[in-house]
Amino acid sequence: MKIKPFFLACCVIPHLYGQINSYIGSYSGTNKDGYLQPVASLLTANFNAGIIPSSEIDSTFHVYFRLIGTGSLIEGKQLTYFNAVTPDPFLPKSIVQVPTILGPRHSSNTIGQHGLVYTFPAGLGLRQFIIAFPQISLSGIAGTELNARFFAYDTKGDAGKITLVSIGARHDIGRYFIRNKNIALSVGYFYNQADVGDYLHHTSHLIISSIGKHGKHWNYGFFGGYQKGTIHGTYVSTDAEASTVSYNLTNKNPVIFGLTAGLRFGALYMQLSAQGISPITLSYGLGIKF
Amino acid sequence: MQKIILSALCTMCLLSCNYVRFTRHLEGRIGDEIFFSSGGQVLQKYFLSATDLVNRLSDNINPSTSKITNIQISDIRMKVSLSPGNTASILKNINCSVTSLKDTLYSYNSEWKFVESSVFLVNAYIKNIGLDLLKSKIEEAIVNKLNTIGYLNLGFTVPSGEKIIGSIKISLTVSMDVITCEKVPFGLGPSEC
Repeated sequence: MKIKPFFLACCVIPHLYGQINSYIGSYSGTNKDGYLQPVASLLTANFNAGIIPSSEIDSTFHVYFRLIGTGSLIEGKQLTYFNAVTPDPFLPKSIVQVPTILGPRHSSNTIGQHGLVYTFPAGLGLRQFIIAFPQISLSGIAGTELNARFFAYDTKGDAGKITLVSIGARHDIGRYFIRNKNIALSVGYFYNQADVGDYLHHTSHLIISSIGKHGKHWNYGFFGGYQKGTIHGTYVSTDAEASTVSYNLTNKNPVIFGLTAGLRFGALYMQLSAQGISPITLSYGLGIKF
Repeated sequence: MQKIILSALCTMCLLSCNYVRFTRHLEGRIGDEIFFSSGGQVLQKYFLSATDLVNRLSDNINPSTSKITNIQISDIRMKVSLSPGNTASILKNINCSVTSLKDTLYSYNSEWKFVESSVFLVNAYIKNIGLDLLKSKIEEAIVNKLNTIGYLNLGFTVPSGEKIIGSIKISLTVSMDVITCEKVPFGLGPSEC
């Protein structure tokens, strides 16, 4: 019973004041896409991080329960700035590089006619993004490993129900043509879905291949893949229109590469992974295997 | 074993419970609408209320831990809604001032043909002195949580023999930044406030 609030603290539960609208709803017009787009890339990168429990796939049946923490450093103009256009009827029409929702905490003023000023909102100024979730893996099923993540919580508040579902599988294709039993070559597919009330619905697909070497107490490997993630949802804008706004955005970081390494002490497993290209995302998995 | 796992992850969570300073942005419209049944030279006071902006602020942000900055006006417009019996089609010599008649906010000496366009964007005819005065009054009202910002004096001329019957609304789009100190769910950065 004590574990439940612990998970709540770790997962995407808004402790934030007031409505989520006030965090994401700065724009209602065309600028909303550029403002929110980095969230699609960030969530896709983090939900697909740490998804490989180890570079090896067990040859005998095991159940592996672990907790994964993933995090990204929010750096680079791709995540923190976008080109916004001054909205009608403000003149002169101009294109300005302004903060995204992840960008710096300073607004950007554009001077218009006779002292009028249009202000592009500041970002949240986030330097890092960290989430955590549980994962269970069943491995050693004819060279295949099945993975699942699940989390659900009803905030009974503005955020509504928060759910995370992830399923995926990897298969050791190296077993058919690699004689060295310490080297594993696998391919896999993973699907993630996360929802935060009506504000955010995230889905992502990941096709991944990994190659690695392992010993009795260690493993390391390299992986690469293709990921596609989308976010969509609705909010009420905090601009003068105060309108209900829908958005639908896709990640801009489809290709991932990464390194992974892990240690094993009896039933306790630890795995550390790093992947890119943008954002650079680290993941840390700690779990027990039966 | 469970204790080890929980301890490690609790440490991760404790590190993430921080207070972070955000710059929130809010935008709203203030204005007033007055019904006219007049001809000739008209002068009317428009009262500007801060209630909507203050409510909008408290709807979205905890006002007790926030500081308001960068109050700006991005557009000013007039809108007419005509009623039956109206015989006017234009307004001339439109002049709007802040509080006293000398601090002009905008002035338009040509004709507003409101039967062609019911909305008149006055951005191009704004006077800096009136705009600066209005901004300072808005800031004063919001910072001090006053209900009333002040008033505008709208004057115009209806051509002789015509009579305007309908309402004219003046609205201003106002934005502000609000510096807040807020608890964040994860390690989104070190504590700052």
